[in-house]
Amino acid sequence: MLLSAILLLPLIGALVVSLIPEKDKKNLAVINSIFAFLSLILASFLFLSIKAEQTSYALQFSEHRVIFGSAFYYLGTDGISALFILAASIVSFCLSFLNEKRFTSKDHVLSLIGKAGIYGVFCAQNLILLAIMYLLAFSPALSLNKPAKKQVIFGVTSAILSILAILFVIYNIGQQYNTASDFNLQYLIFVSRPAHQIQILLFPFIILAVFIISAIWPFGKWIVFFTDKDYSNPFIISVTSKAGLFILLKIIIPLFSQAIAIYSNYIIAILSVILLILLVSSLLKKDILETFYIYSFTHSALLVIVMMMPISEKLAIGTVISCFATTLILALLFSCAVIIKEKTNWTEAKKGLSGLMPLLQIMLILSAVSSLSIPGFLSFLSFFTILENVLRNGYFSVFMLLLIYSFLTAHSILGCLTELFGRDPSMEFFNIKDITTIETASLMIMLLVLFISGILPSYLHDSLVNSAQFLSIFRW
Amino acid sequence: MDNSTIISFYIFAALLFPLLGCLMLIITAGKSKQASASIATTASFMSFFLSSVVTVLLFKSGYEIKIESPWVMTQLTHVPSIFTINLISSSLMTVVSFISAFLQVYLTSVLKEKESINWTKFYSLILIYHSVSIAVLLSGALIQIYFFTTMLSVIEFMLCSAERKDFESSKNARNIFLINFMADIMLLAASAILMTIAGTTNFGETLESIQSQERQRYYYSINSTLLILFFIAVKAGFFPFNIMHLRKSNESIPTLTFRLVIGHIAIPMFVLVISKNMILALPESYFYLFTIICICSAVLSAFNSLCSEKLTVIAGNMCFASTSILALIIFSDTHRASLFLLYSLLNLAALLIMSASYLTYLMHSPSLWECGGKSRYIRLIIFICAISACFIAGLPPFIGYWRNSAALSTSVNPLTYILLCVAIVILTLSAFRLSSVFIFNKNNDIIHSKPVPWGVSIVIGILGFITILLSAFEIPAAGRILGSFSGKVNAGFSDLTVCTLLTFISALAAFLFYKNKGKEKEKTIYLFIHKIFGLKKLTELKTEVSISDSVIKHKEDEET
Repeated sequence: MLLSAILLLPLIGALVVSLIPEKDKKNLAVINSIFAFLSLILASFLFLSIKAEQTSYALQFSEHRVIFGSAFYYLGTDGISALFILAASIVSFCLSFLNEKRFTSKDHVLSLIGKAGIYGVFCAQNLILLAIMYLLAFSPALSLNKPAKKQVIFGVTSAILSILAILFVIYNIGQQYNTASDFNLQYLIFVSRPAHQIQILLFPFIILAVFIISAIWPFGKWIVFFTDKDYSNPFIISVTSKAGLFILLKIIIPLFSQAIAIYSNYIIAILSVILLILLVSSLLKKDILETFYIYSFTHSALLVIVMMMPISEKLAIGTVISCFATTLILALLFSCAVIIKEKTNWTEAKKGLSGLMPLLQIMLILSAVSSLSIPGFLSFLSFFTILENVLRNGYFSVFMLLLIYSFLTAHSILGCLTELFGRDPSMEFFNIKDITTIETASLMIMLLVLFISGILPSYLHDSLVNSAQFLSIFRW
Repeated sequence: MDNSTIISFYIFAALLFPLLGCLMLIITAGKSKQASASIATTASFMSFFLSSVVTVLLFKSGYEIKIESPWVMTQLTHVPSIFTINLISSSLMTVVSFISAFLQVYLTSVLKEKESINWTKFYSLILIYHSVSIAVLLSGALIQIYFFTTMLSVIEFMLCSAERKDFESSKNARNIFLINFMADIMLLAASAILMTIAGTTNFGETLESIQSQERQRYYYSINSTLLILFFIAVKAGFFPFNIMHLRKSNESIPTLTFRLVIGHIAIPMFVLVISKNMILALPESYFYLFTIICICSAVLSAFNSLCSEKLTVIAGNMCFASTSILALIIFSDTHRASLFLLYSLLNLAALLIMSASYLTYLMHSPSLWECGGKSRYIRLIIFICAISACFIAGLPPFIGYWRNSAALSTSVNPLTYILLCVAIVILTLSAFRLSSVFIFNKNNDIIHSKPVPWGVSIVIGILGFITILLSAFEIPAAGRILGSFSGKVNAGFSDLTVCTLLTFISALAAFLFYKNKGKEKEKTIYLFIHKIFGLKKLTELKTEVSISDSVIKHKEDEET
């Protein structure tokens, strides 16, 4: 029931919000926040209930119901899914305080549906349900302007449908039609993994689809560049774009491990080139939003590179923790950027905001520091674990790439912050207000999560260890 | 309680006192500036006192104490947490606390004159810097050093940006952070490699593990050693990183002194000393390469100092050149004696940088050519600056001289010997240039004739006295007195002769050059050198020179 509750809670919230008159903006925001808080409590409970002592891999929470005929409703979570759900709920709770004035009733409804969708992606064990949930996760895009909407819907739908079609083909080639388990992910992984030739044939297409939904450049542009209309930015970029990485880790790697063994070096080479181009191009950018976008793209590309290696237990844990940390960091960075954009004239603000918004400045600097793999924050732990295990796998070039990535990311992010806060402000901005206490608190929560989990990572480790061990079975 | 428990207690008290002071500062923030200053100074002096006590106790007992504790993220990476307390770390701690405590006194005395800075924040940052520096010196594992050096980089960035004056200084703070971050990342990479091959970053275990490894692991250990050397090169301001550390540095005196003396001399040299056994495992060719890099860095840093106009840049580059020569000595098998050189160098560097930056502060101009004057207060500071420059460069029979001859004695082939001679000549020339400009510059100082604050006088006086006392030791004699420093630097008679000759040739050249309108000649040469390096610099310089010329003209007019 817990998983269904997590899934249904935002949908109930959407229903309640749609019943409230649109003029009452404050109440809308409060209801949104209350539902986000309830989701956070459930997600925390789910995460803390994951046990490390379990000897064999199995979904620790699962719900299976036959609806009619061959259609079934199947949800399940292990440590990795629970952590992704927790990250999404923390981000959605914290962002709910930042949207009070910006959101209309329609926006609130769509954002709540989007949240339900993303929780669904992280716990669906039925392929059809996964596809539906993924499409729901992008529902906030419906409130965008027309060209943006088209781009997002086209990109996401094509990607998800191609994954679904390919998985469907895999299963049915040479197999007898089995109504009960056609779309059951657990069945696909444990019982009926695709044959070697089919894997080799289909893998290029499937990885292309993963590239699209993981928001890797240039496909990431479709999803994130056109969602540039204030509010939907932080959630879509931080949480929804991580769903692609989640699908790669949890579904594609177990299903296509033999194909990955063959294609991995090519994919690593291609992504490394993309990564280097992006990193070099980020040196030339002085726009804060573009720099953050590039950080998001490069991080996703880096994680895909890491996942293409023979995945060991620690590497899997490092990757998942890195996803968790980046989700929070991206939410923080983009929230700050959105606030600056909203409160100032964006183009003029680049000429200098020093000392005008001290609280926001501190938050942005702390968020930037937490993204630089500096000890004390969670990103350091994941970076070092990945660094060590990449070396253990013998990929010295990727090891060097990680070092370059770390330095150039620091260079570009700090460069932007210096541009923004290093100059003295122009006269017209002297009236702008700093962020409110509630906004500061909501940003602070995310920073504290990063900091506390960076100092005490044992909870994360304990909940992830079982699912990481399971993934390492598919090490090629 | 046994002796080791008492020593551990004292060490951690020395480590925690500055943090306690910082906490007190935060609690009493804004109430009284004098109270804040007193708290900070007391905390630093307590730390200094405790470090001294520990050094004496260790000196008597000869203990080496190791405190191991499980690290929080053991499950993921098995990172050990080891604090090693021995004579090297405790005596370096004493020097670092000593400099820190005296800088607090200096800060207290100049507090009234510069009110634009948030002093409570500034004091807190300096106290944290002090504490973290001590933590680095106590670290027994590479990953621990990474932890603390990264913290130092962040604090350095905060210190530099706390004194933000314009966009350029913000950019400068960012650049300093980035260069330090790059070095830290290299250390992290070295840690990752060592974790992979040895399963630990603990120095002792790593060495044992590497010594018994097969070829591939040995290859990896070379990579990690090279990364550590890169870290040291960046942090210790080897050329061209010295340019980054000093470029457009217009921070206040305490920040500059802290940054350069503790962050970029004490800590990299400490890492070099403790990772020396790993470095000795390098193949011969790498060893030779690093020797050449050290010497070339010394030559180029000294040359940079000779060609520079800014007082702080000259002083900083002289310190970096000395560090490069010292790294060469530590790198060869003489590190026990070289530790004594390191302690003296730290004191000298603090004195030189403090006096040079204080002169800049007094004269309201960074330019060497505008220094000088008849005021006795300025003359005193100028004298201290000149004499510390000469000591650090190698005026016999002071510490620089022994260091130079020791470096010459470590040379294994003619090329390194000649290059080292060139470095010594340029460094000495630079020191004499600094002194001779002061001597031959007859300008009146129209800006300042008021007395130097008491704090500055005390700090510079005591630091100067101790430094001169330390510098006057002959190294083997120091080795005999201090017992454990075995004094392996036995420079031969020929090395000492060469060193003396080089110094006197440089002195003669400087004298002849500056005796007859040296300043004008120097400007011409200066412009010519910058012309080679780039037209943009030349145009910038022309404006600066023309401004300084006009200032001199104005002063002369006033005199007449």
